[in-house]
Amino acid sequence: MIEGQRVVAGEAILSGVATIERSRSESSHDTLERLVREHSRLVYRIAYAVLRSHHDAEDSSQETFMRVLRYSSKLPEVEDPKTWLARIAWRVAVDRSKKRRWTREIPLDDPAKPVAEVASSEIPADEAVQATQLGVAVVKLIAALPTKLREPLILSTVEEISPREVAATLGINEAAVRSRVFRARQILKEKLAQQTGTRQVEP
Amino acid sequence: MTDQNHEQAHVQDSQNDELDRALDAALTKYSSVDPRAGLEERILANLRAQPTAPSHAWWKWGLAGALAVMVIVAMAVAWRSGRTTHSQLARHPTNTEQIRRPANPPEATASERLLGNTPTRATHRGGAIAVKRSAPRARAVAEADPKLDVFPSPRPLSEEELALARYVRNFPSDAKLVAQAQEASERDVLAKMQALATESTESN
Repeated sequence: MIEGQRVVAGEAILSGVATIERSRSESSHDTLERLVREHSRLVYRIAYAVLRSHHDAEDSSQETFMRVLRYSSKLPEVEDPKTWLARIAWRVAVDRSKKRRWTREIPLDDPAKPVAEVASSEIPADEAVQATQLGVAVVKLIAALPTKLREPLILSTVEEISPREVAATLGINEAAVRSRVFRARQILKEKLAQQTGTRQVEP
Repeated sequence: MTDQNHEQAHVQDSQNDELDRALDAALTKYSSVDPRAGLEERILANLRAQPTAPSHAWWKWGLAGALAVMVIVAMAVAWRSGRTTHSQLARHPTNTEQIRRPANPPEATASERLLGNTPTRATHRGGAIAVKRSAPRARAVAEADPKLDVFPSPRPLSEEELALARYVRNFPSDAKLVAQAQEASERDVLAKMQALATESTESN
């Protein structure tokens, strides 16, 4: 009788362990799927902010989640998955950007985008063209900023990320993020004012 | 004058505000892009297509490392064994002579042996030439059959031989006389045996 009870208890323990293992692996998979569903847009926007190309941003997003899959065993230990993911996305995009610079690839898909926006927008055409020109100028000016100022500014343009998360992604403190973004904005404003002034003088 | 300054400051402020607003708008647009439809599904499909259990990749790396270590050890052992073979050949040059020895005149006389006149590799010019001539062939034989390196193994002199050599070195004239006497007695014995042999053949 006692032997029978022991056997039943042993089977129960084994089935319990098996269930826990299964649920663990399932939960890891579920967590990964939930991360994709919740944060794929954030990852994409971070990648786009760095790479300025839709094609590269999508490739970068895929690579980011592949890395997450590779480290999926660490997922339960991650306290803030959003920041963790943002950091991985940032690193992947920056790596890809460096590689692209090394191979001298030039994105081709984006120059057509402003034209499409102008055509589809409801605001007057001249204002839309002006905004587009300003946007192009800002992109060039941001690219010319020093890395120290450019990185926090780029990340802060992603609306899903707070300054605290920008700081955590870059590994600096929040005050530094705020001051660098402020300085970057000042520089951009000065340059834009110069450009606007020269444009006004030119005719 | 102050009105003009105020006006200028007002214009500058308004320009600054305008620039701020424009910059804000441009920065907001900087990364407010939406991916192509179905990005999540594409990412999930890609993830599902990947092989599972990536955490066990270390096992493959471990195996590869162990194989690499084994290859390195095998190469090192092969290299060392090659070196020892060559050093053995260099350390035992008598092997070539030993191979050559059956072709040499088989016996030296007893007196020559006692007096140390036995032709050696070092002193006998003819032997040395023979060794030199046969060196490539002997090396070829040695390389073809590595067992020749150890067979026949060089043997040190026995105690009796050493005592005899010492005697010859110390008393060369006595030794010569003894050797001559021994040779003469051997010759006599040989002559007697030959005579007996001829007698027995004649009687038959």
